[in-house]
Amino acid sequence: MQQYVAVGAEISTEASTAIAQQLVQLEKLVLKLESKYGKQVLEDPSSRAALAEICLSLGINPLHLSLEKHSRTPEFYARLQVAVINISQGLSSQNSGCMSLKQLQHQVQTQLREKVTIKEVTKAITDLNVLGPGLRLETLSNGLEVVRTVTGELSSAQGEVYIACDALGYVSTEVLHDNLGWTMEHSQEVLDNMVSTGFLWIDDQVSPAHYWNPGIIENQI
Amino acid sequence: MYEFPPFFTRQPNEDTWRLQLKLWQDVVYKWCLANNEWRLTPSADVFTNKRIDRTLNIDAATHVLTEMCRKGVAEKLENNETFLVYKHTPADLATELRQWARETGHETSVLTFYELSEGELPSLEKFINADDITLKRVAEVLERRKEGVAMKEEGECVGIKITL
Repeated sequence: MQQYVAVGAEISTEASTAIAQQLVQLEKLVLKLESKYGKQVLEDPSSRAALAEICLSLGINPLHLSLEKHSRTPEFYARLQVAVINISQGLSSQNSGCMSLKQLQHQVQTQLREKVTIKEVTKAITDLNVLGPGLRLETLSNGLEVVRTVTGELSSAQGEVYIACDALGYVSTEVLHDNLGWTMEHSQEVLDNMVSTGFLWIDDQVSPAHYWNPGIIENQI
Repeated sequence: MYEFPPFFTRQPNEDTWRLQLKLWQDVVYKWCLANNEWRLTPSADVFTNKRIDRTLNIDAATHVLTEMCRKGVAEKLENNETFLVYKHTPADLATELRQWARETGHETSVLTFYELSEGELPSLEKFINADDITLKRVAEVLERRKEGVAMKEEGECVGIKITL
């Protein structure tokens, strides 16, 4: 009797190893198929659905297939939008709810580990607005495009700094104090914040320090 | 960029500073090219813009030059604070020399630094006026690639023997 049990166990182990091996082979085949015919598959909705089904039954995440990179699918935009929301929410306390479009693009790329164009980020934001006004794309008077979370007290302060920068070229704590009626501490806080997030560049070779909007020179870079 | 005052202050934001570093390396190379002056210290003229009265401090300037060394486009000279910026990198020159040797049948020739830097060899313009340190580095690159050997005279490197 014991012998039968032992033999039975052996057979079932063998069978499961064989199946596991076959699955690995199959997965390889699917990935090969995908890399070879990815584009065609992508263009034909029914084969796309079929491939996705095969993938799911094998435990391959279809979203990770490289065919997603051939062209931008709705799935890509969904992932992009999630990244945009994550980043703009995660950073809103640091950057006072406002960041340049370029920075956002940079961080989205880091998060998704693939190249994303400004245009695609813009599209993601525009599409998100259908769901309600959470993020707003703004072009400041100097042409710098920023993304702003619609709530956020401080972002309006940042906007005022930008406008002052635009008028004078640079600002300082004193300029903000004199023109906007801010306390020196508040001015310093807003400016420090904008420098630490890379919105403004500091020139510390004058006293008090001057803060410049890099938008002026960004076109030359 | 060079007229933008905060360009001369190291920016606290790391991403911005990395961008700044890259732009400064460009500025340094172009300055060397324009002045035909390839040796400089962290207090060289390039780091000061007199028109706007701004200077990149020694620390930041050292950072720029050190970064250039790390990228293989400059090197720190022994015993002082001077850096040598390569007009053409030793790696590029070595590749150029190999191609030239192949195309002109100099697979086993000996080339002296003098011949190279005086422009005595046709179509090796990039080597004209190259200094001995750069040429020595070219010899070292070729040695590493097993495509050449440094020729020495009284312990000094004076030429390259191509061994293709």
